[in-house]
Amino acid sequence: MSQILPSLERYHRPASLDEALRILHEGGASVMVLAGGVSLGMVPRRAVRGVVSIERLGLDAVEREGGTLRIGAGVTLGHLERMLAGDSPVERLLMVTVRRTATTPLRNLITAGGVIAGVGPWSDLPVALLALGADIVLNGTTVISIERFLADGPRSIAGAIISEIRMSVDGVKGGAFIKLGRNETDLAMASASVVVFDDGVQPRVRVAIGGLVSRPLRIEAVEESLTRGVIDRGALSELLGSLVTPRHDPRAEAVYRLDLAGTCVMDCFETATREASA
Amino acid sequence: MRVTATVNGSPFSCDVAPGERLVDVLRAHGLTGTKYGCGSGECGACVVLLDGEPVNSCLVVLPRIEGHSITTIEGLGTPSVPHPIQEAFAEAGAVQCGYCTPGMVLSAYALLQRNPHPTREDVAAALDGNLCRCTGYVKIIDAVMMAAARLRGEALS
Ligand SMILES: Cc1cc2nc3c(=O)[nH]c(=O)nc-3n(C[C@H](O)[C@H](O)[C@H](O)COP(=O)(O)OP(=O)(O)OC[C@H]3O[C@@H](n4cnc5c(N)ncnc54)[C@H](O)[C@@H]3O)c2cc1C
Ligand code: FES
Ligand code: FES
Repeated sequence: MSQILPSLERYHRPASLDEALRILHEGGASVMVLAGGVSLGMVPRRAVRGVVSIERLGLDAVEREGGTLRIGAGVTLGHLERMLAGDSPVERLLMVTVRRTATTPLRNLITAGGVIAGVGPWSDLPVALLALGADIVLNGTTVISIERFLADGPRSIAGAIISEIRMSVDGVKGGAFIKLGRNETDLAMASASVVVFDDGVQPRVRVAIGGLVSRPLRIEAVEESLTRGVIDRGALSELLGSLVTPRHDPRAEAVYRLDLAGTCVMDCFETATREASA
Repeated sequence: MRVTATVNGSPFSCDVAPGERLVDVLRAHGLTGTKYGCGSGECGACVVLLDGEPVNSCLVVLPRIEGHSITTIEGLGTPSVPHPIQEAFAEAGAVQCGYCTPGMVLSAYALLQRNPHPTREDVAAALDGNLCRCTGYVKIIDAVMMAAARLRGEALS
């Protein structure tokens, strides 16, 4: 039998966040947080001697409170898909994004927190969360924007546990997520999400792209041009090209990824504005 | 470490290293209907049900099943008393080499538990994590639609 983590000696199942944080603190770099565990098969693991499972931490609720949607970090994407209601633009956007993530059996393992903490160019949900302007809660108390987390990278939260993802649903009028891969279940060669907000003063959009560089990016320069209606598909890809240098690998060349990203953004913008004006 | 769970409705416990994969432990305990393909979550040959939901057992470390319920293909039907989905797979010609079949059948079972009236698109979506290198999928979807109709008690035209 081949072990997935041959170096693993201890599997901790703490029943409280405090206990989990204590084990993580004492274990240092040799102990990691374990959520769905899907990443264990994807990357060669460093010498992990212990894991701290988040299963018993009670991070498995999806709650709507006032104008806020709160998703526990331990909620699997499969469960999230079943819990989301199609009656608000935010939940519709999350549903579309989750359904485009990985496959049915993988979604029953991958967690909302794991997909953020394990972020990479392949990540889908973080793209939509970035466009939505979501926040993540660390250790049950510290709130940081997903934008800051994605800018600083996962190392910036080493030793912490993402406990919740939360976002405001007020003012969100429309949203879209599009991912292009070689087939339905492929990792993104490029993806985008656009969200239209209207707080009664001035409509504005937020734009995020994925698949191009190591983590999803918010593209503010594109947001402005889209809001002013002064950009077409070709100009959009050109503008993206002036802002990012995409990855180039055997799955897709950099210039092709840029082209795909431009198409994703434009199609998302059309879908999101249509939803907002419906 | 000692892990205790329910497998195919019966109590199950064993002593394992914490990094063991569920697929390997099931097979070592004679439940060889669960297949090992890619080992990285891509093929679905190793799919089992964890609390009724399909998961890739090659990515599940054994301590993760502590206190949970696992269903393998052996828990669904036997050669003498097959489950209607297994019968439909055989009748529809949905099986060639058969390596993908246990995972396909379990994914189909989870779908039909939740949605007894699936469309062909629903079936394709539910089986998106199960690769078949032999059949081309059409007969597999036919089989799940046939099983769904039978489980609803409908006569087939
Ligand atoms: C075959 C395959 C296909 C995939 N397809 C897609 C896809 O289409 N789209 C996509 O977006 N992703 C895809 N993924 C990637 C997957 O979403 C990531 O690997 C994700 O990180 C897995 O989440 P998890 O819950 O299983 O986390 P784990 O594997 O348990 O952990 C991932 C990392 O995050 C850390 N971590 C987990 N939870 C927390 C927490 N709450 N707080 C702090 N740290 C934490 C862990 O320590 C680890 O470093 C795919 C993966 C595979 C293997
Ligand atoms: S062996 Fe598990 S998905 Fe291929
Ligand atoms: S029947 Fe051979 S892989 Fe599906």
